[in-house]
Amino acid sequence: MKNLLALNIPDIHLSLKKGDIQVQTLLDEAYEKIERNSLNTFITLFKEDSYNKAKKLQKRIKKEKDIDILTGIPIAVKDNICVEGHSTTCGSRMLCNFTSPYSATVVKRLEDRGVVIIGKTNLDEFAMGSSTETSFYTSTKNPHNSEYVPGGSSGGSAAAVAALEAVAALGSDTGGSIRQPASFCGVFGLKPTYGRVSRYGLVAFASSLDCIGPITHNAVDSAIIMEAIAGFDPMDSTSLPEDVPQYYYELTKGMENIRIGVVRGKLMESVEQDVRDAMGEFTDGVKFTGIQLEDVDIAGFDVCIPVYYIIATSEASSNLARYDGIRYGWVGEDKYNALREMYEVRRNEGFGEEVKRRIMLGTFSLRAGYKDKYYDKAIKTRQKIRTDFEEILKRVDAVILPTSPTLPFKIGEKITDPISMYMSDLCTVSASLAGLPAISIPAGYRNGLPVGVQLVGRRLEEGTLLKIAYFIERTGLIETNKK
Amino acid sequence: MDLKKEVKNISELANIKIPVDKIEKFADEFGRILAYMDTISTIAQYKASDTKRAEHYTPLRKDKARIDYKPVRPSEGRYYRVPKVI
Repeated sequence: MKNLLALNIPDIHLSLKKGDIQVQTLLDEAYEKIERNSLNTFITLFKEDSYNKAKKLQKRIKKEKDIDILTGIPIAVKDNICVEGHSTTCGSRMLCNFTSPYSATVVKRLEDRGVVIIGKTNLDEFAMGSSTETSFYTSTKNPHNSEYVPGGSSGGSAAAVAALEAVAALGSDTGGSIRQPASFCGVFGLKPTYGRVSRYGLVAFASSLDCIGPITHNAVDSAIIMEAIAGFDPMDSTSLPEDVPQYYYELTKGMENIRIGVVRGKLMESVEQDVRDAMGEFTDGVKFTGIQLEDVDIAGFDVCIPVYYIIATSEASSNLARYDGIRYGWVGEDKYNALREMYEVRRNEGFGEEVKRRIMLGTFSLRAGYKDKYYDKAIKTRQKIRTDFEEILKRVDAVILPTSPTLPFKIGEKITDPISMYMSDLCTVSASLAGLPAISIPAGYRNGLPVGVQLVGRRLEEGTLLKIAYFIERTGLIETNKK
Repeated sequence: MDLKKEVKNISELANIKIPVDKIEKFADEFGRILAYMDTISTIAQYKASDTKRAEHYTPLRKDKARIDYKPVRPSEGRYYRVPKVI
């Protein structure tokens, strides 16, 4: 079997246009790989719908001269993003019977451009986790070694891309859920500036942090997908009105005078030796390309995790209050005598342990008498983290740091220890709290497992991050996906 | 803080019934998480100038007046028929 899904989007587009391949061939390859790999990357497959759409698109490709670059490209979508008429489970028993009444703006924008959605990928329940093990349905395996987790919460999306089951995938990132799995699976994962991509149709976890972004094999595909999904949406009140740059067209422009800050200090002491070594080798390589590097130290890294978890769980406790088993959710057997008891029973049965833990932590942080000590303080500290980060980004165009403090860990290794799992977010939460764009790019392998490094950029400057990623990729510093 | 009592109280506020046999496990984990979250109390209180709000836009649509009043009288016996909204 040819590895057509390993090609980048412009190459697939060219082959489709020339008639060398057909949209159906791409789908055949995707579904065959999904079945053969058995990595549990998907919760739902859209076989019937996607082949029907492929037929129509193939006719259009034959008839029309100028087809969109995204026409016929098979893409996977994380199962917390709505696709009209299909289920959106969020990896939870709570939403096992839920059918999306409308499509998310990102899905609509991609489908309008001719993308074929092949299915919905596995995730940690309600995107709460760093290993895709808290999903009610199944645990996804890392394509590089099936005993290891693919990261999370967009583990299904990242693993599907790494295992060449899709050309690209959409993920969502609240505290690192696109970047960390991208790092664990050896692919590219971009978390845009908060508000750059519409959240309409994304099931809310923490509304002030949630972002949708692409997971891809390379920087070119990230640029093309970002360009398609970004931009103002009247359906999302936090959507930013600024124009979207031509990310793809601008990839090769203006790499002169780029300065990158390399994070040193306390944070680097908290990451594993293997990750430190990989990051060291990577930055040495970057230096060799002529990019100017300088050391930076980001203060307050040690408090980012508590600040993030207090804010994220507080927002989650409010967002997930809607799942009461009446308007949405798991119904189960009639085991109650009163309305209140019914809510309590249904929510206990519908939610998994991690989700319950987070709802309760959020309820605690917002509770009268404790709010000043936890939530209010976390909000103030978040502003400080943001201003500190922005201050550093006045001197440099981007900051480079590891994506994850550890290499991928084994399935089951951390699932019983919530704090150790929360620490997986050590390097990613600061960009989330600051609302800044960040991309995880592959930085080689250690013990056969991928390592990623992360670039954090200025507000709305995803283009600069993509440009740097593309430049570094062309220098051969990035080891290509071994799958 | 009596953690078991605390877990019971919070679970009531959160509308989640934690089974009795799981309360101890939840309380234990909760205690460890809270001890970690308490590192936030080591942070100095920031001055107001450090914590200025980021720019935020809320795009609003323009208000359009829609005046189509008609005298309202019960249309079906004692009941009013209201326009269908969904």
